[in-house]
Amino acid sequence: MDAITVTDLSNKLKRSIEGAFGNVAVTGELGNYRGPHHSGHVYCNLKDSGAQIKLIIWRGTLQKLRFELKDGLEVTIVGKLDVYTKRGEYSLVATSIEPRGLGGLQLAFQQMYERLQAEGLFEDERKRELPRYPQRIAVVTSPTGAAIADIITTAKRRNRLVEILVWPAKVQGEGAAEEVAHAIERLNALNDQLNIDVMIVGRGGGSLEDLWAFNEEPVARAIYESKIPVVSAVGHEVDTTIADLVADLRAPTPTAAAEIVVPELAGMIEVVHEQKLRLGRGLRHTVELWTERLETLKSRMAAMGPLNQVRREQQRLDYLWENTQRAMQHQLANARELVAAQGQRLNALSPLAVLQRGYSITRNASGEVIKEAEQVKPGQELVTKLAKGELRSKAV
Amino acid sequence: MSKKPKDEARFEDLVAQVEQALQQLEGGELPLEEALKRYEDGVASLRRAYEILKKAEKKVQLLTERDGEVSEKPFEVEGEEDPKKLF
Repeated sequence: MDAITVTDLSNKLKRSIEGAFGNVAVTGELGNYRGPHHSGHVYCNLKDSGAQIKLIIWRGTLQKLRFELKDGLEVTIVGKLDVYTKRGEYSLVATSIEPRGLGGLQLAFQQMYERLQAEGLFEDERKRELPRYPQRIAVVTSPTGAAIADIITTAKRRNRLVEILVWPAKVQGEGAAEEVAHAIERLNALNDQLNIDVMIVGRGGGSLEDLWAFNEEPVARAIYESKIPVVSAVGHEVDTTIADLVADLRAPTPTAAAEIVVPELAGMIEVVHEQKLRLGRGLRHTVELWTERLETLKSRMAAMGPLNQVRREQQRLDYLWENTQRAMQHQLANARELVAAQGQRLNALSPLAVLQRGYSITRNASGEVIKEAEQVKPGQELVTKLAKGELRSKAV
Repeated sequence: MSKKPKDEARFEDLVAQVEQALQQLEGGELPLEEALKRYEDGVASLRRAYEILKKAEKKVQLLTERDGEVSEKPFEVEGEEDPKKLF
């Protein structure tokens, strides 16, 4: 038999093995996995209980994976056999890798979930409180998508006074996660100028693949770092993304986000109406209380002679009382009227309106109301408030 | 760009201020001139809150940043603009 060289034999083996198999799909478990080599390529094993084979994953293939590889992970590898004649080794070169059981995206989601949860990114304690009455709202989304149209329509229907600032960002495909993250970071950095109270980050419905940017780490980190409260609104009710879990509040849809964030104008009007009524009642209550006390005092002092001081005090209370009564009548009459007129009407509710009837309030230099002659010493400056203007005078 | 002036109070803060005045007033133990003062403070805050509610409708703005400078321009939902052109 003629002897052949090692090289010849190896080349024959290479041709025969590589030719015989072509593309193969192999299931097994990753072994001896130590992460990518500094070249970016991965050299590990694919094994089962009976055998193992060297597995090579080139950098380009590795970068396309959404999930992380780790020792013991059950996978299906599609690839080609390769014989490396220099070292007499054969290996499987992966062209695609899928985890077994879960799909690749589900596994990627699960891995990101576990990692960020361990870091505390989803903790309730760190969630920022949403403002009750935001006046400026930023929206990070595609300027041409369905989400922005839904948000604007809903927000405007609820409250025409709310200002919406749209920061356009690509929401799917290559670079989308980075654009969304960048938008959140810039809104925070510029918020001294922008004065945004809260932001909505999201997009309309789509496939898991379409929504993927909102499962990526840059978006999660940007939301986590945001000083401005973030409401997430990604896809439909059934879609939960990593962004939803980090956000201060998860809205099921963009429309729902607008409903949650934007207070109804009618509700705001009601709040101030209610406060106005309570202010009137509160003052009346105080006046009543003091009237009562004065009455008690008066009857106790009745036997003791001059009642001047008490009478003066009571007179003052009478003014206030009468005025508060009027105020209350005004308030009740006005309660159902439109907001437009309310600003001016508040003037009429003030006890200061009593001045219109010719009464005045005198204060000393430090602003205290003069109720007794003893409060004033000769030479002291006094300011008397009249219906129109003030009188400055000096006591003699 | 249209900024929200720093001296413009927020509705949220004004409502909180009135609430604070109310809590003192409703306690009923204030001396009269104190009560009057709280009432006036409350009315002043309420007036500013009403002013906010009387404002005209706000337009939606599209933000664009160039060289660290942010600008706003009116945003139309129906616009078929290519998002790339917006930058």
